[in-house]
Order: sequence, then C-alpha cells, then structure tokens
Amino acid sequence: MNGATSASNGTANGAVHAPLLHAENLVVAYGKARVLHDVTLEVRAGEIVTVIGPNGAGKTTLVSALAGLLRPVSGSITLANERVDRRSAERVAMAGMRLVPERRHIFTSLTVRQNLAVGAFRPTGGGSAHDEIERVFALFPALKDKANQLGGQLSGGQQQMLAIGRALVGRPRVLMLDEPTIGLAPLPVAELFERIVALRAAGIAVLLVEQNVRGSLAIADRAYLLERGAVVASGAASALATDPRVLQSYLGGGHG
Amino acid sequence: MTARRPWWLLALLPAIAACVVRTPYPLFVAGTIGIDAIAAIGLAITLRKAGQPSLAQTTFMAIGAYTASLCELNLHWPLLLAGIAGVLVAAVSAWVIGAILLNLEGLYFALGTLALNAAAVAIFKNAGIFGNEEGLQNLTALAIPGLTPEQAPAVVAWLLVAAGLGLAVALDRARFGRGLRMLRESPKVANSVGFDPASLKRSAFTLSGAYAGAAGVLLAAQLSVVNPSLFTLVNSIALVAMVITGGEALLGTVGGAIVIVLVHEFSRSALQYAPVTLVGGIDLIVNGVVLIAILRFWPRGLTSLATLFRSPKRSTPASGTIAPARPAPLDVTPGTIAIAAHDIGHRFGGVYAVDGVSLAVGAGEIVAVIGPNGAGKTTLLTILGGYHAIQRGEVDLRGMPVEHLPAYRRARLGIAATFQHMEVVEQMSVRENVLAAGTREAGVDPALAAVDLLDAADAPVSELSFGQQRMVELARVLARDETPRVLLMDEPASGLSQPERVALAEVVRAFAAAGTAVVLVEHDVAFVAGLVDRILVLDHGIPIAEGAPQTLLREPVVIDAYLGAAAVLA
Amino acid sequence: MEAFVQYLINGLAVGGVFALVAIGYVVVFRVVRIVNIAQGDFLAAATLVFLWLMNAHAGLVVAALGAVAAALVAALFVERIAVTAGGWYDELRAFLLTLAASQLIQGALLLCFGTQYLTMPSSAPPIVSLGNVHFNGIYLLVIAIVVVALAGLVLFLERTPLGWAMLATADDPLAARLCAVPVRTMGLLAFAIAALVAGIGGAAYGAVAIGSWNAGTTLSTAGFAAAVLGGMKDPIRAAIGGFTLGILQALVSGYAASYLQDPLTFVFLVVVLLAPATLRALRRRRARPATVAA
Repeated sequence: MNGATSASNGTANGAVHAPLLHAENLVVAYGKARVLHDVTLEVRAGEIVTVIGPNGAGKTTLVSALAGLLRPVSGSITLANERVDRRSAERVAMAGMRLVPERRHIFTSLTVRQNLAVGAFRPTGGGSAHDEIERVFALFPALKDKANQLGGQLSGGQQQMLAIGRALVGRPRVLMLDEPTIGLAPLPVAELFERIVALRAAGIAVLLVEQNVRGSLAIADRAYLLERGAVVASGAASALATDPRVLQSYLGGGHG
Repeated sequence: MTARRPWWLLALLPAIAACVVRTPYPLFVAGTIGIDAIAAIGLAITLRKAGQPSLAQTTFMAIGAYTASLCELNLHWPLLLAGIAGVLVAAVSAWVIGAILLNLEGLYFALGTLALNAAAVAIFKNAGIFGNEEGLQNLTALAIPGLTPEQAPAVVAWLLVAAGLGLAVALDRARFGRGLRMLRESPKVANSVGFDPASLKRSAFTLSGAYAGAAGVLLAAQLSVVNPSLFTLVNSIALVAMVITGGEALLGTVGGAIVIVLVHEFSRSALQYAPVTLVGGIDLIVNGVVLIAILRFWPRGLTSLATLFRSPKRSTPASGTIAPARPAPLDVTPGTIAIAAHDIGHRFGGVYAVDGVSLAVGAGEIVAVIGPNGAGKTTLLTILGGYHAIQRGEVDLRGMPVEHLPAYRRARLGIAATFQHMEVVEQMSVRENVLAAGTREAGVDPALAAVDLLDAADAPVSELSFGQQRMVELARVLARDETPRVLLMDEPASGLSQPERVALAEVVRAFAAAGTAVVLVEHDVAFVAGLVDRILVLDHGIPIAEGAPQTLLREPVVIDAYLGAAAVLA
Repeated sequence: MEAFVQYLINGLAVGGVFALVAIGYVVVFRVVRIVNIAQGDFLAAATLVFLWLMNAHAGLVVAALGAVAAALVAALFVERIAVTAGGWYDELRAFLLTLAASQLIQGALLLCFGTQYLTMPSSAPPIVSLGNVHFNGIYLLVIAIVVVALAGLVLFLERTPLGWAMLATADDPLAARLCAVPVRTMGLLAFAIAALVAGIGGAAYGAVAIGSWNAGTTLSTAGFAAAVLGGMKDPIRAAIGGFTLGILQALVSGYAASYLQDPLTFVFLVVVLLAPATLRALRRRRARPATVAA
C-alpha cells in the first residue's frame, strides 16, 4: 500500500466497537413472495464482511434493500445510529452507504473522469470533487491513464475499478460490492481483491457479496452464508472456509 | 370478455327502443353513439387486444365514408352496395397501412398513425375529388320501411353494434383471440406456442379498419354529408378516450362511447349560447380531462363495474372427478436424438456468452445445464428455442436443421418452453391464463389438477403465491393439445417450496416418460441431481464437464467453477 | 433559381423551429423515457403569448420572457400529469397522458385566444439581399437562434457537472440513484430545458410565421420525425433532421402544393422509422444461406 490517506473521517485507526451498518430482522418480499427471511447482519468500520450463497439465495435482494432500492416489509437498517430503512436510494447514498451494483452499471456514454464526477455529485459531508477524484486515481492508477476514455471502451476489470471508484468519490463510510468479480478473468480478479483489502486499510466498512467463495473468504474477516433468503451460517471467515455446509449449499453435498 | 353469457345482446336494447321513440334529437344522439361505438370496438381490437395504439381510426372511417359516397354520387350505386364497398376499401387500406406501420413498436406506431391522420385530413381537404372543405353532399339517407328517416340510422347503428360485439366476442374465443391475448402478455410466450406475432397484428388491424369503415359508411348515411372536419385528430382521440374509459371488456367500450358522446353533447348544449370557440375548446378539454382522469385514477375503467354482476364462480367439481393431465405418449423410440446443438457461439457486444457448446438430447431424456452465474445457461436455452437469432453453430430438431427458424415456427414443430420471468397476466384468473396459451378448454382442468391448482382455478393469479404462479406456467404446457417433442425449462424450480419442487419433478418425469426430451437450466443443483439423467456444466460460456450427476458433482473442476479457483491471495 | 434559394431559406427557418421541437423531445426522452407529444404545444403556447404581447406593444424582451414563461407553465403541467411515481417506464400510458395534456393545452389556447391567427405587429421586416433573392432578415435570426440554442445545450450537457448528472440519469437511472443523483429532479430539469427551448422556439416561430391554437400538432409530428432521425438520443442529428424536413416541406410546398406538407411529414416519418430495420434485414438476408422451409 502506498501512503494514500485514510478515510476522511479520521476514524481509520480508532477501535470502533459499534457496528457501522446494522441490519436487524430484515424481511423483503416481491408482492406476496417473501425473498428474505429475518436477516440480521452487521459490518464494522475497517472490516470486510462477505455474504456468500448459491444463486437465487437473495444476495442481490439483500444489498438492494440495504441500499434503499427496495423497501423491506419489516426490520430495520441502521447506519451509524441513523435509521435508513425507509429512505430512498439517493438519500441512503448521501448518508454514506454506497452500493456498487452487480454488472457494474457504469455510464458507458461518459468518460472515466465524468463517471467519477457524477459519483461526486453530492458527496457525504461535502468536500471538493476534484480532491476525491485524485484520491481515487491514486488508488486505481490504471484509471488515471484512461481518464478521458469513454466508460464503454474499458475492459471488464477496468469497468469494475471505475464502478468502485465512482462509489468511493462519494466518501462513503460503508461500501457494498455486489459480485464484483463476475465475468472477470483470474488476473483482474486477483487485482480486485487486492484493492478491496486496501479499502479496509483505509477504514471503510466493506460488505462484499460474492460468488467466488474461496477468494472472498480469503480476504474477509467475517462471513454470512445465505440460502433461500435466510442466514444459515455465520462467523469468522476462516471458520466458514472449512465448513461443509458451504459446499453443500452450492452443490447439494455431492449426493446423487 | 370471457363471461359465458351473451352480454353483447344488450346492444339490441337501444335498437329496439329506437323503433319506438320518435323525437329526433335523442334518436340522433343514439345514432351517433352507435356509430362511434362501432368504430371504438374496432379500435379496441387493435389497441387492447393487439396492443397497438392507433390514432388513425377516424382516417379509416373517412376512407369508408368517402368511398361509399363517391360510389353513390359518381357510380350511382345503391346504399347497401356502396356501403359494402366502403367497408372493403377501408379494410384493404388498413391492411396496406398495417404492413408498413405495424413493424413499429407501441408509441412509434401511435405517432405514425398520428402523422397518417394529419396527412389524410390534408388530402381530403384539398384533393378536388373529395369536395374540399365542404366535402360531399346529398348522400343517400337510410330508408327502412316502417321507420322514420330519423329512426333508421339509430336502429341500424345499434344492430351493427350488436353484430360487431358478437363477432368480436366470437373471435375472442377462437384461436385468433387467444393468440392476441398471448401477444399482449408477451410476444415471447405467443411465439412459444406457435403464433406469428406479425400476422396476428396485421389481421387485428385489418379488422379494426373494417369496423371503422362500417362506422364511416353509417355516418355518411346519417348526416347525408361527409366533410374532413368529421375525421380530425380530436375525433380520433375521442375514440381512444372511449376505449380507455371502457376498460378491458368490449361491452365496456360501448359504455365508453355512451359516456364520451353524452359528455360532449351535454357540454355543447350547456354552452349553446356561447361563442363557437368555447364549444371547440370544450371538445378538446373533455378529451383531455377524461383521458387523464381514467388513466390516473380509474385505469380499469367501466369494466370494473362488471365485477358487480359477476357471480363468484367457485363451483369447481371435486378434484377427484378430474384426472390429472398426463402428457400423451409420443410416437418415438426412446433415445433417438430429439434435439441436437453443434458448436453454438453467441456474443453480446464484445463478450461471448456462449462459446463452443454442443449438446444432444434424446427422446425421453432429462438433461440439466448448470453452472455459476453468468455461465451462459439461459443464453443457450434461448438459442435452442429460437428467441435469439443464431450467430454461430447449428441446431437440429430430429435431424432437421432449425437454427434459422424463428421461435414460433419451432414451437409449431414441437418445441415448448417455460421462462424464468413469469409471463402471466395478474388480473386474469388461473384458468384464463392457461386458456390464453392457446389450449383447448377441455385440456385446462386436467392440467390444473396435475399441478394442484384446480381449487384455485377461478382466483386471480395475483392472489397465488410465487411458487403457484410458476406452476401456472407449467399447467400451460400440460394443457397443450400435443405433447411437445422438446421441453425447454429456464430455472423452473426457482422460488418453489419443497412440496412444489416435488410436484414439478413429477411433471418433468411424466413428460420424459411420454418421450419428450427435457432440457432444464437450473441453479438448484440438489434439485436436478435427483431428477436428471445427465448434467452439462458451463462456466464462462464454455462446457467444462458432462456426465451423470453422481460422479460429476464431485469433480474438482466443477467444484472449482462454483466456489472459485483455489485461493487467489497467498 | 431564385425561387429555389427562397424556398431553401424559408425551409431552413421553419426547419429550425422543427429542430427546436426535436431537441425538446430528445432531452425529455433521454432522461425520462417519455415521448412528450405535447412538445409542439409548448411551442404553440409560447408563440401565441409572444405575439399577443408584441401586439400589445410590450416590447421584445417582455414578449420573449412571456413566451418562455408560457412554455414553462405548459411543461410543468405535463410533467405533473405524465410522470407518475413509478410510471416512468410505462411508455404507452405516459404517452397517452401527454396526448391528453396536449388536448388540454390546445383547448386552453383555444379558449384564451380564439380561432384567429396572430401575427407580428406590422412593421417593415429587415430585408436581406443575396444576389437577386430578397428575404426576411428574421429568418436568419431564427437560424442563428437554433444554432446558439443547440450549442448551448450541448455545452451544458458535456461540460457541466449538472449536465453530466443528467446524461448519467439518461444512461442508467439505477446507477445514477446509487450515486445520489436525484433522478426525479433530473426529470423535472429535462422538462424545464425542453420548455426553455420551446419558449425560444416559440418566439422565433412567431416572428416568421403565425400563431394559432392548433399549430402544436403539426409541430409535434414534424419535430418527432426529426427526433427519430437522431435516434431519440442525439440532439445534433435531431436538429439536422429538423432542418432537412423544413427544407423538404418548403420545396414541396413551393413546387407542388402546400397541402402536401402533412403527407410529406408522414412519408418522411415512415422512412426514418423503418430505414434502420429494413437495412438490417436486407443485410442479414444477404449474409444468410437459404433457410429450410418447415
């Protein structure tokens, strides 16, 4: 890690005991169909928490609800002691929790620099967009080289970096990443995981939803296993890495 | 409208009443309502059933009216003959215009018809043969023995309304109507059952043109005059307002005609001493207010009143008396290759979703395609079904190349499909949803029994659980006349509870037993492990393993694909 | 030859107004995904207010401001009606709502101004001469206004943070929300820009043509045809479409008959709408071998 500055709020090294993000008994439904059942999780500053689980488990639904794109039927979402579960996505982003959505969703018709500028449209706690953009370029040097290229012309890995950078310029305290490695070749995946570790060092609370189980468990501090909308296992990432329930979730335990 | 009682006969009441009443003004209004109702019913067929909003319905009325008038004045034809000519020319014009414009989606089509309307008015106003702004006069009035000249138009108009409704209802219940219903839900589903969307839309549009032509002919006979100001955009929009006010049911459209015309007449008479501009402005304002009010506050329109009359039909026979549907056995030797794909490649933009996949499935075999997210499973399935144009590779159905055929042609050859995102219409009942799939009525109940939905047959689909709604999709396939040769299923188990999964597995086995080749795309590996004969694993669009479930799921390469390569960080 | 140049310049002036309508369509459609059929009526309202104020001797500045104000009122009205919460993407319903709003605006204009046409108060227009051709200098002003408005819009969209936020909303509303961009406000802003463009265009139109309550429909249809040429995305191509259609109309009107303008618009629209799909189909047919009949 180079000498990049820590998160602007200056809480990088403090031992923050209370969780920055706390979701309690979240229930989310599409019409009549319940997709999340009483999900409780928390993320602290300077920690990486990963949510794993097979497809259809509800991982994307979970982060969408946390980001304010979906309204939960019941339960609460607290961000640094503020209740945010009834807020719109724009206001959640302003409050300091930003989501990097599945499949990136970068603005393909805007340049890299313009993409970042949009991310800094209303940064949490004010501040100069220019400084934040420079900070992101320091963290992702490859983006700086392509500052004036259109987003649509970047490779998959670069687009992912851009999407993360775009969320970072908003000075979030909690960063959620939904399947950032999807569609990426192994080399960009390795680079990406490295960058995510760097984010932790900067004091940001990172919630990582991932299909790449081994990779994410290797860098996370804690993990939750989500299956059919419910948390079926949680704990230290190293413990879950050897838990047979994980393999069972994905491949049905190998039974015929 | 799917009620069994002939509601449309109610339209005969005004016709009968008009034989008795003698005061001219109410008869005139009744006639106007009837004429507009005929045009509105035609518009409803195109707008609601086929989903194409036409702002040119009055143009086809004009074509009918002017044609009939010209035949009377220049060729001295009797009214009936001229009238038939008017209807035919209007229908043919609609067919021609439809061929050009129906390629356009929704509102581009609407704007095309808007431009057409303006163009037509300009031509009618200025080309000498049409009489310019004054139009054509001294047209033959309707003469029916026993009726006064004021009564005749009203009576004939409502007789035609009744006939028009009856025809529309009959078509609705026939295969044509079912095709249109599916088209509105989703062109994908219509394709999957073998309907050609383009030809359906053209037929619907031609039919609306015919209705408009008839209305135009009647209008000419009622007024004895035709001029361009009768057929402008305001009038077209008024017809749209009638259809929107009426709601889904065609009888509602007639109600819409009654409401709109009466509101216009009422405002006109309330302002009869006001200057002309006020009156013209009122027409526009009425159109605007009614459309906004209905679209924003009462979208279901007059049809929602029908629920007052509908008896709660929960009287289904006891489940025991209906045998659950079993797909009829196919005449095929088990194991002969039903569908085969060679070297399928497909790109979206610069990325290969599928790259070099080959698969052969025999009759009676169940094969699952699994793999992590983004592996290309769904893309493969859509290519097999024909919902994407093929880019690379071949697809054979029983040895016959089909890769260039569109989905509906493959559907007619025996490929059935169920989709990941449900394509059901929320407000219709379960039974109606299955019927909309172009199935015979007799096949519906046994199909519902097979998926345990017979008791809920008359409930609106919106009241069912997610899993039950998926089962409705399955019931559609079961209710088909012919057992499909190939059944493609995209994540059929997603969102299903455990008992529902068991029912699903049973249905899939029943199809296989009948000789159908089943290809499933699934994420729930445990579900497929117990069900299928063979599994194909894709990762990043490339096949990485194929074989029997028991051994395949323990292969390291498969586990790696799902869990990610061994630790990327030291 | 002189007639041809005359038609050309008339056509450019009227086409410039079409271009402004088209730009209004494009901005609203990109951000809010609605085809606002009332766009032409914003312009008609602006024209009528402008001419009425000019005839009341209120002066050019007041009249122009009045034009913009009228367009803004109309635009806000349509925005409230057609952009319902969550109804953004129900295109057909939104379109019918804008159609209804258009009827209401036309009705209001009819009630306020009657059926009479309004024109500029008589004062000798500046005559510009080009060789043997003499034309109204105002036409040049109209063309200049269109170019300036277009340049202003493009600069705003491509050089300012607010413009980027709007483009981002147009590109991917979901991602924009996640970046704390208030997308509903962006939609309102799009309508406001469309109104501004319509206000300016309305004043320009009043200066070269006439104001009437039903001008909106013709303008909307022509403007839409031009916008489609730009793929409903690119304001520059839409403007080119507007100028093209204006010139074609002037030529048809001059050499054939003026009532053929509306039929011309229809043909132009059909060609523009169907051209890309037909070209694609032709290309595919050439590339593919003969298919097997089933």
